[in-house]
Amino acid sequence: MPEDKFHQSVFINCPYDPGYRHSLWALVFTLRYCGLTPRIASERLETAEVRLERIIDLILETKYSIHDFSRVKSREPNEYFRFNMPLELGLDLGCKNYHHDLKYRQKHLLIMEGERGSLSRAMSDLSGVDVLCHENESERLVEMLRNWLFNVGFSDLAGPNHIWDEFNIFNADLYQHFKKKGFRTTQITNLSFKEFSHYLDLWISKRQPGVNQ
Amino acid sequence: MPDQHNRIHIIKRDDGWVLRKDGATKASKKFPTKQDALESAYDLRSSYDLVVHSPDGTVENYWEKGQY
Repeated sequence: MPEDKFHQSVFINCPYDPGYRHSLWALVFTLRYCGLTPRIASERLETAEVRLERIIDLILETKYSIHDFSRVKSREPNEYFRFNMPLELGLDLGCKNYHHDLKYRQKHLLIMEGERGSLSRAMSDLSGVDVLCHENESERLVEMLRNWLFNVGFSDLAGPNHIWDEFNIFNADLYQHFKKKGFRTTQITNLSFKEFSHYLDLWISKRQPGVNQ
Repeated sequence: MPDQHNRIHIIKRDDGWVLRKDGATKASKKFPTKQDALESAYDLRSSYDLVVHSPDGTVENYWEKGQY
């Protein structure tokens, strides 16, 4: 992949349950609004590749990554914990620290949790590593992500309140757009990631993201 | 793209709610509760559509002008 794409790409490692859908929308919106390219595993689900190979490719193609461990507790008796996310974090850390190509030492990882202290209880090996807590609030998520992007070198960014307001306005536009196409409200709420991303690309192309109006 | 100049948004902000008109440079006023924000927006019902947002930023209710 071209070097400039590597420097603009962000791997998102997050839950894929319906309860996280709108947090994912907020994450993806903020990245796109700040001029970055979000990459998630499900974007290439239609291919026959082995999922693990796909994840490794994404890790190799992205300088930045977000690992949101908002789900570290089972919600029903006998529910199995899914270990995909810790595995993907481990692969990303391994790439940053051990890959023979030194460009991967520049990787930046954002690790987040939904409840303060929850990750240190679930993954004690991360004790001492900076973990940011968004308290399961999308507004906090947008603010923390924006501030983290600034800290890793993206200096020309709109303020967190501006990006949050723009995300809300985007949602109103998305709602009107799909209502006009005959979608019910629940169908808009449950929009596929692919369709959401398609509309977001269209919306971003018609705005001037990152510029305070 | 929808017309972005005839709506008022009620948006969660920190520990309160704000009103923001399409095209405005920033939110106009902050209220302690969503209900307070709704009551303030009611005075503008003849000129603007009203978009009430959920705390996650998505649309909770959309009323066209004159309908709220």
